[in-house]
Amino acid sequence: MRILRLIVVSLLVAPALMLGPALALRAADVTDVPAGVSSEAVKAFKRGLEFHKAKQWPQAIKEYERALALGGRFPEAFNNLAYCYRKVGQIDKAIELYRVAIALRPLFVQAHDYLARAYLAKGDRAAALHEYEIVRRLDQKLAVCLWAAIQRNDPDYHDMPWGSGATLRSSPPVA
Amino acid sequence: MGQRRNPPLIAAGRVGPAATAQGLGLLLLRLGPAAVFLAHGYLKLFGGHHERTVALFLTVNIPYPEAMAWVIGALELAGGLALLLGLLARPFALLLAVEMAVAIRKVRLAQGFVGATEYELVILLACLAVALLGPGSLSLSRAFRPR
Repeated sequence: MRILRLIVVSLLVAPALMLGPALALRAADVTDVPAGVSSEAVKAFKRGLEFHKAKQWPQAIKEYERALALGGRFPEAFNNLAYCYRKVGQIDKAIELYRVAIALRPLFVQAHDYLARAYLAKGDRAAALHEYEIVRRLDQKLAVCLWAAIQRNDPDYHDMPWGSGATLRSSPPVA
Repeated sequence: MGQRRNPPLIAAGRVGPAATAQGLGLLLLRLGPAAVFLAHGYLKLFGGHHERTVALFLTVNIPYPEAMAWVIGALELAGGLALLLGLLARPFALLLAVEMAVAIRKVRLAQGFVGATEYELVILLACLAVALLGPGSLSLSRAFRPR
């Protein structure tokens, strides 16, 4: 009898659990700052963003590095810093930083997209294709642009500095 | 004869209130990971998270990412059900503990402890506890055990 009761309860509980917590997904944005980051680091990061938008890469690098030094070690900071290094031609440094961003957030689609472009800039087409395979599964729009860049062997082709999610929501500066 | 057999059973917590408490404790220990694995297994297999799982496996260089995403989804769903019902709970708990160890090694360690590794670590330890202790008295495996 007890076992029967347990079966009935289990059969009632199982579907309820399967409905589970629906994960609230939203468009990714590289301008986000996660909670818990010190206000000084956030200020430096935001100053970095302003320089970034103005394509003043050396100043943006300085501010992003300051944000990291102040404890703002979040994926967006590494990703954006890597982007600036890529733009000033320091590809190896950019790749290293993109890898840190991805280690902190493995499904950070913009970082994968930019890493693919960094590999392309370095001439490593196989690694770029590996990253493309990841992007393809996470963001179709970004994947189409990245695929075109790979086909043209042009890392800057359709290089969207704020990711497709942000591009659809607002009108960010075009690289 | 019965009087000779009962004291050791009571001492071992297999009859009486101690057994009920132990059974309930093990049931609660199973329910946490069961809920997590049922939800995640369902999402991987039927909830549209397959592509995200493949992307994650590609990122952390898991071999055969496409096939492994299905295998892990199936393991989590079946393992969650096994933990919930207490049927084949020990082997599934061990497999799920191994999965958590791989997740910690491949993904979470780089992200630190608080808000990252702690989550998989708690599930790994709960699964190991179930693998070592068994599902307890409030489980379906008791229904199939000869008395």
